Amino acid sequence: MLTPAKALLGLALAAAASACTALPFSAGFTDEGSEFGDALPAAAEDLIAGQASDADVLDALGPPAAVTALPHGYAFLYESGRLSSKSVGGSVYSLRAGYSWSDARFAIGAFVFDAEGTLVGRAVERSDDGTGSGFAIGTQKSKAAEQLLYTLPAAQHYWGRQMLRPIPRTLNQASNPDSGESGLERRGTTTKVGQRSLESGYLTALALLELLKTQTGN
Amino acid sequence: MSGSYVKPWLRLGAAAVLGVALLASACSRTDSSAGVENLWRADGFEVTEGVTTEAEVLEALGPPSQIISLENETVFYYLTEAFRSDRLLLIIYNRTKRTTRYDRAIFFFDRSGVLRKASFSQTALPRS
Repeated sequence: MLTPAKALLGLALAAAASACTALPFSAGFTDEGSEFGDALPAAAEDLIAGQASDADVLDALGPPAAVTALPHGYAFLYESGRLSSKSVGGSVYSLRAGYSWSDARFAIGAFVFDAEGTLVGRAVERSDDGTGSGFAIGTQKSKAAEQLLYTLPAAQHYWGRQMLRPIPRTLNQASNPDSGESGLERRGTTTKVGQRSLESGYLTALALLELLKTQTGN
Repeated sequence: MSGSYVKPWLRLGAAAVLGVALLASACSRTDSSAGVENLWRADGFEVTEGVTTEAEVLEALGPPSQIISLENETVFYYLTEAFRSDRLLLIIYNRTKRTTRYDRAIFFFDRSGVLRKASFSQTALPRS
């Protein structure tokens, strides 16, 4: 017979169990989505190099996601995206089997101006592609980390903090893509190209040097 | 009957509370924000191209998120970012949705510090 005391106990147990996600066995449907930025207006395609000015671009598209100075002018970058990953499957401890599919929609616009503010070049890309689907058996791997790459806080929030980074990176501040003084970089760009590769390569070399010192005692 | 008898309405009520508790404990919403306060959405804030100066913008909006030095101009870039994560975890059906929205204001000043061009995001975030 259900008594108020039993009901309360059941309530507490159910709440505790539902808050625990580390179940040894599971099966179900997972839907993960990320979205950032406003869609790039269709007017982006109507802006013609040699005719449009930076004011025309700002009036049509609003403030860009990033601005950078260039040797003979400056550039704007617009970015927005919508990512989705879905999967059906089950897991036993860390072994997982399932079918998953995903898609990614991006709208990117890069606009380059001369020093007088005249548009000298533009590139607009709208992609609406499935990033793939497939069946797999293996260990657990979350796609959330990949989506989080695109929803990281904007670089502008850390602009003033750039000079407080470790010495090799601070010395390279003039070439930092986040500074607004030295080029632009799309979100999700690998760190294995451009300035990032110099920074990570330098730090890797330092780490290797330290390891060598530890092992040789010199 | 013995003293352990529970009235039907009480049993139904306990089941309803249990169901709501289960559902509520599996749902979560997280809101966070970063960046400057979007004071450019405040009543009374106005700029006039060719008239407003750097000093007036700084006075009204405070320190920018970023200052960029162009060849002939200075750019003040203000950014407010709002992040929301909605999660529904029901063991056999799990859903997560993350949304990041931006509210931006950008100002271009000429060499004498006078506003040449200003632009604001078309979508305004609510003021915090």
